[in-house]
Amino acid sequence: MTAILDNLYSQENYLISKKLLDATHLRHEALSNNLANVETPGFKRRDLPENFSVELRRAVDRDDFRRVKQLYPRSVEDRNAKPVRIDGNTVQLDEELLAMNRNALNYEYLSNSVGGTLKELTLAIKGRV
Amino acid sequence: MDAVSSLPSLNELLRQNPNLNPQKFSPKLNSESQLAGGLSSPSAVPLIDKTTSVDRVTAPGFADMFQKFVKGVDYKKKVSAKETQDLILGRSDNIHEAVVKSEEAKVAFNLMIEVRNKLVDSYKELMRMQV
Amino acid sequence: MTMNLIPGVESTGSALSAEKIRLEIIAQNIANSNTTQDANGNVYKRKEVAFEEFIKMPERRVPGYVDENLYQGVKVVDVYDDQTPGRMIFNPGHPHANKDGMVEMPNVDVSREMIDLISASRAYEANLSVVKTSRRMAQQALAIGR
Repeated sequence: MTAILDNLYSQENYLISKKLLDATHLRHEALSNNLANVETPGFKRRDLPENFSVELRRAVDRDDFRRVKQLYPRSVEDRNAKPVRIDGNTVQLDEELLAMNRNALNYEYLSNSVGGTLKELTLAIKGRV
Repeated sequence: MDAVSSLPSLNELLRQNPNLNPQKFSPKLNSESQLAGGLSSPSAVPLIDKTTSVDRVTAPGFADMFQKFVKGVDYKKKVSAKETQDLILGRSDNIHEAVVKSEEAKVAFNLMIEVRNKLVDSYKELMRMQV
Repeated sequence: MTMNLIPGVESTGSALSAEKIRLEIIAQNIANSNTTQDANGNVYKRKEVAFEEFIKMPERRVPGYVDENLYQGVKVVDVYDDQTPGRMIFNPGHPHANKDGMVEMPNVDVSREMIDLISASRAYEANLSVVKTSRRMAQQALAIGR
């Protein structure tokens, strides 16, 4: 039904950026939760699994954008994290903060990328921004 | 918006030019007529079947496509409204989803308005031609 | 049901509240490190907070997102007394001495409390910086297309 409008929003980078924006947002929530629980006994840190980005890259290499649209990121317990304290808590404050800041920067970049495409479309349609 | 609404609506264009009528209208077009600034109103436009076989091939295709287009824009608006509602009611916390969907709906809507403007302009251009 | 525009703010907010409570308890322990008799006639026992991860069911379930937004940070489930017996000091002249001349001191080890204080402060400051970053992210999202 919306075949005409789907083509308008089908640029590769736009779709990828939108999907990554979702993932970055989710990752931020997971990292925020990790930092909130930095002093909770026995807490295990959570993060996005690595195979999300692997899957995404694979789907893009295959030009399978239907698959790109169907990929949903999830946060899971990080099995590789080692406990840093006697009580079994696996959150390392400095590393977690660093990861959170880098993730936030990714989010800013992706917002700009998505916004740029939308501004471009508006410019093309109206002749001005 | 005043300059836009003073132009003849597509409704009047269709009435004056029966050759542009498709064979049948879908009743759903009524709900989108507000959206498209008076694009079409099936009850007001008489179906005159004086078209030649050539006209009948090209004209329904175009109106059909435009109808699908309007439905698509309406769908995008609905999606954006739902996402916004979820956000403001606290059912969702994806602010980027709400913003992106609302911007997409806006762009689609702009596209529809510009296409409509172009159609009206070309009609006026046609009417200006000396016969 | 409140509007939640800043990502992760529920978790961060819960951490700020929890760490603040913890800091207050630590301060109370330090202040009472020499209190041999409280209002009930007992020696002061140091207090501890028990943190637990805060998990709550989300409002909306979108197909494909499984169990997201379940994790809402941390909460204080209990503030309890540490029942370890304190040191006994021989001081027969002390008003709270027992018949053997021994006074029970509070079981507060100030150096340990200071270490806890530093951990709690660091956690508090880290979460403060998280909330600043989260707000900046939300503002970036709002500026899409502008």
